[in-house]
Amino acid sequence: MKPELFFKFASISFQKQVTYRFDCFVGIVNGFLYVFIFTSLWKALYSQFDTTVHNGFTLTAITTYAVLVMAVRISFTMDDSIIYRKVMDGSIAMELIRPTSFFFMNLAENVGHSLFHIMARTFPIVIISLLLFDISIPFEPLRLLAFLFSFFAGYILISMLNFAAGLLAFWFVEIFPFMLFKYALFTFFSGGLVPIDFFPEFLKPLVNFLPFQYMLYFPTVILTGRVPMAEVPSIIISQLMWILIMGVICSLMWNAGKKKLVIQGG
Amino acid sequence: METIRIYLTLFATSIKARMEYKASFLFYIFAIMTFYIGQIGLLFVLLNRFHQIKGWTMGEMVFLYSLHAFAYGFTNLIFSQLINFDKMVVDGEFDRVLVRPLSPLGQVIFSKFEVSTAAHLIIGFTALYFGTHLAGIEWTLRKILLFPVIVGGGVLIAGGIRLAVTAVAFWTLRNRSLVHTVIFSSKEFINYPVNIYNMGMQFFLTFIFPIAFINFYPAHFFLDRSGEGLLHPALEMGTPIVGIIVFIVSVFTWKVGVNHYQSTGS
Repeated sequence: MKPELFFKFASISFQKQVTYRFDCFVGIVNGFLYVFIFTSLWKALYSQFDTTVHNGFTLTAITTYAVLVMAVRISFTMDDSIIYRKVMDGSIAMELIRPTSFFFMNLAENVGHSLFHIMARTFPIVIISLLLFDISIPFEPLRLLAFLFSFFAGYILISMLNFAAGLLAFWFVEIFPFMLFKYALFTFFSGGLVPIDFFPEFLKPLVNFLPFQYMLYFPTVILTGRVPMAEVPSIIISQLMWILIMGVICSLMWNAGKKKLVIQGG
Repeated sequence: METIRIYLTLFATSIKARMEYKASFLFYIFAIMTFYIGQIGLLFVLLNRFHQIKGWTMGEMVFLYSLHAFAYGFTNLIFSQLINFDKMVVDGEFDRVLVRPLSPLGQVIFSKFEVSTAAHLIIGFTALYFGTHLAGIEWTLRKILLFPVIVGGGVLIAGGIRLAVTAVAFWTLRNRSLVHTVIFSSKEFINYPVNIYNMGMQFFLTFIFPIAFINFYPAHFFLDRSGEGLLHPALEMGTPIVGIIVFIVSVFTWKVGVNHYQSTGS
């Protein structure tokens, strides 16, 4: 797909979001609500003990994690029902005759959507949190660069997860249960609420087997400084491997789905 | 009598419609349960590491969760159509409701029943069972009799809040994100004992947006906890009264909204 075309799609999707300004304000409140709940929770938990470090996190470090993981999560906001709607109303047929890759067009739409949420929600929430909570983010240029890399890899992974989940619409009339199931697994295993470091030992093999930790947890801990720089390359390599695996799954599903697809006229 | 018969017919029709896709329905129940198991799983992860949250042990937290699951389960059963109410207003479907010789509110509520309540009830009973064992709750006759009253009060609070926030659609038309934040995200507050929050937030959750009465305050009564840590010890029996007040205020708001309603013309 040509870069100009990619940006065109992204910018259209961005502009669609701008229309809903009230939603955006509510979205800030919504994101901040989670930040507030979890910073309060960690403060209450830590206040019960004399020790100040738990599982490698000081109170400042865990507060920083709670804020930044939510910031990353909000930056990853995308509409995961696009493909479902296109299959339901038949407009997916248009995608089949376009000379562009459907995956990349979908990615472009997601990017536009997310860019809007980064500007309108992520930044305000981070700024408010910086003023209200005790947070420390290490400002090392190399670390920031590594974070950006890991962030993009995580973004592509989530995009692929949503793409694959959306393609289930080729086989099922109702995919909302799948979306809820995906959301439940993602919320728990991505470290979106509680960092993986706090998980009991017996859950670790399962966490490592699933791709979710590479979507939120690792980009966030690279930014907060929890992970030494020496470990960053192996994390990013694992992310790239997961992109490869998910990419194969997506293209298999897309090719099988195209054959299965029956569009009713009208 | 005739009115009741009509409502019962509406009720039966909505359940038949939902059971149209049985496999999808069962998977839906499964997906909802995964979501809640994930939430309880996070509590387990935290308590496994920290043993208690501000004096609340695992058993007590699970009991807190069961009250919450029951209240939201029944609220979902009765007030589920309210979630998509803005769509009824935007599409002009509400016009049809207004010309029929039945109460508009009654028709909206009886037009859809969420059978997925089954999932909430399974979670509620399981949590109640384990909560009782782990926290060693003694079920006196008084407690057994008051349990349904407290759950009923919780339903009035949660349902009343839904009614009030959907009534906003009469003025703003589209209000999905607001509904989502107020109905779903705010639930997160009471997954944890409310005393982890600062005084301002405790006041807010008690007197302005009184969801703390759904589980936090009444749990003190069932668990035989002393009410000393509370803003006032008498609050632990406040649920039914607060429920009635919230519901009356909400119905009033709704009626003002209906009078203000102007069709979109679509």
